[in-house]
Amino acid sequence: MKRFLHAAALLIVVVLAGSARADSGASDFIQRLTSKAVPELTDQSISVQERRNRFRHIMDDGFDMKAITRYVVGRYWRQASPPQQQELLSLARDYVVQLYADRFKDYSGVKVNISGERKEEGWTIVQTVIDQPAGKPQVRLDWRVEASGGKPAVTDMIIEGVSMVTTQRSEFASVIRQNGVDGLINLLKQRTGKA
Amino acid sequence: MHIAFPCFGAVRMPGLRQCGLALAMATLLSVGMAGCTSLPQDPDERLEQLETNDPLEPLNRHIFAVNQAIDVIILRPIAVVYRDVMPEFGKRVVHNFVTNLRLPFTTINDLLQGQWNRAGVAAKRFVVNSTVGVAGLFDVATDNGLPYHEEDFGQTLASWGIGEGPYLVLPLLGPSNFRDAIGLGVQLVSDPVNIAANVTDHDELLWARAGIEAVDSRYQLLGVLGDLEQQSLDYYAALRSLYRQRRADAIRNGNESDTDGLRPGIAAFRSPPADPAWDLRVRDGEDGPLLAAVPAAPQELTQDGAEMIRAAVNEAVGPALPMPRP
Repeated sequence: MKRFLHAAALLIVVVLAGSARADSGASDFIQRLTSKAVPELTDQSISVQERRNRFRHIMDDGFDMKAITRYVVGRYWRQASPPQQQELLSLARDYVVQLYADRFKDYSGVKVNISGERKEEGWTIVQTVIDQPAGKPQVRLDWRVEASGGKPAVTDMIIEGVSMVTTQRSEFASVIRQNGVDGLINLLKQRTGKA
Repeated sequence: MHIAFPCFGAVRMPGLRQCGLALAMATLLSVGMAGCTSLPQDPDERLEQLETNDPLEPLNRHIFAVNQAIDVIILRPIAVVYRDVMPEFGKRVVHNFVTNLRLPFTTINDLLQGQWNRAGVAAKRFVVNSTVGVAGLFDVATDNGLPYHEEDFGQTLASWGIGEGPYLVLPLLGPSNFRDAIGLGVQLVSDPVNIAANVTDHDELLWARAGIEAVDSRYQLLGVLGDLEQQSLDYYAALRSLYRQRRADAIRNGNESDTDGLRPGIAAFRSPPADPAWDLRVRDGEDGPLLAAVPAAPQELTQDGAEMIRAAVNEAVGPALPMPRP
C-alpha cells in the first residue's frame, strides 16, 4: 500500500511541475492593477457614485467576474436557465460593487507591497502585504491570478487566509439550498436596490 | 504510518511520543462521528457536503439563533458601552492584560507542536511584559522583537494530523468543530493561569478572567461582525466559512505555502473524490508531497489498490480545474 502511495505522490509531483511552467507575469499585473486602483479609489475628492463607477471599471478590467460568478454559484449554475444565468452575472457584479466600492474611501494612505509569488495548479498566487497608516496592523492579501482570454485576470482575493470567493460560494449555496436560484436572485436584487 | 479514519482523513503518527494521545483523541473523534460516514453518491452533492462540513446544520442553526439572541440582548450592548465609555488607553491596557495571560498556554502548545522558536518568543514575551510591562498591562515586548501570537490545543491536535471533524456551534462560545471543542475542554483544565488560580483557591479569578476576555473579544469584533451581519446573504453560512478558513490559516501559522491544497473547501474542490469510495488528500511528506487515499466509508478493499489509486489520481488532477469556464 505504502509503495502505491509513493508512486501516486510521484505522479502528482510530475503533473504539478508540468502545470506550473506557464509564466504569466502575474506580479507585474498586480503591481499595475494596484498602483492604478489605490489612488483612483481612495481619492477623497470624488462622489460616492464616481467611486462606484471607477471601481466597476477596474473590476471589469482586472477581474474575471464571469468565472468568479460561475464558481460562486457552483453546481447550481447548470440548473439555472440561460436568462437566470444572465441575471446572476449582472447582479453579482452589482453586488460586488455594493459590497466593496464604498470602503475604499477609508483606505487612503494604504500601500500595497508585493512580497512573493507562488505557482499552483492552473493559477498563480501573488502575495502582497498591505501597509496601513497610523500604526494599524499590516494585512496579508493574496491575489489569485489566472489567464483569461489571453490576459491575466484576478479570480480570488485571500485576506489573512480568508478567500472572498470561497466565503461567497458557501453563502450562495446556502441561500440556493433554502430558496432556490430565484430566491438568490431576489435576495441579490433586494441588496443591490433593484427589487 | 497512516491510519484512515472515515471523515477525518489520514492520521499520521510522527513518533511514539505523540502516539498515545493522538490515538486516544482520534478514537474519541471517530466514535463521536459514527454517523457521518454516509456521504451522498452524487459527486456534486458530495463535494458540497465536504465544503460545508456541517452535517449537524439544523441543530447548529438552532444554537446559533440562541447565541445571536443572547448577543443582541447582553454581549453586544455591553461591548458597545465598553467602547463608548472606556477611554482608548484603558481598552488597550485591558487587551494587553488578557492577551498576556494567554501566553503560558500558547507556549505549551508551541512546545507540543515542536515550534521551538515560537515557544521561545511566547515565553520571553510573557516574562518581559509581566515584569517590565507591569503584570502585562503594557506591551513593551512587541517593539523589542517579540510579536504576539496565539496557539491553542485545537491547533496542536491539528498539527498532529487530527482532522477538524464536523462544524459545531457551541452554546455561548459560538463557531467551533469537534476537534476544537475538545481543544477547549483540554484548555479549561490545563491552562497554567487557570490552574494557578485554582490551586490558590481563587476560582473567582477564573470567572473574572472569562468575563473580561468576553467583553474585550466582543469589543474587538464589533466592527467586523457588524459589517458581516449587515452585508452577508446568509450570516450563519458566512461565519461558518470564515471560521473554517481562519482556523486553517492559524494552524498553518499564516504560512500559505504549507497548504498542500489542504485549504478546506477549496481543497475538496481541487481534488474532487473520483470514486465515491475514496477521498484523496495531498499531505506534506518527508520527501515532498504525499498523496493519501483514505476510504470514505469503512469498507474492505475489493479492487486492486494500485489500479484504483491510479484512476483516482488521473481523475483528480486531470479535469479538476477550479473555474468552470463559460
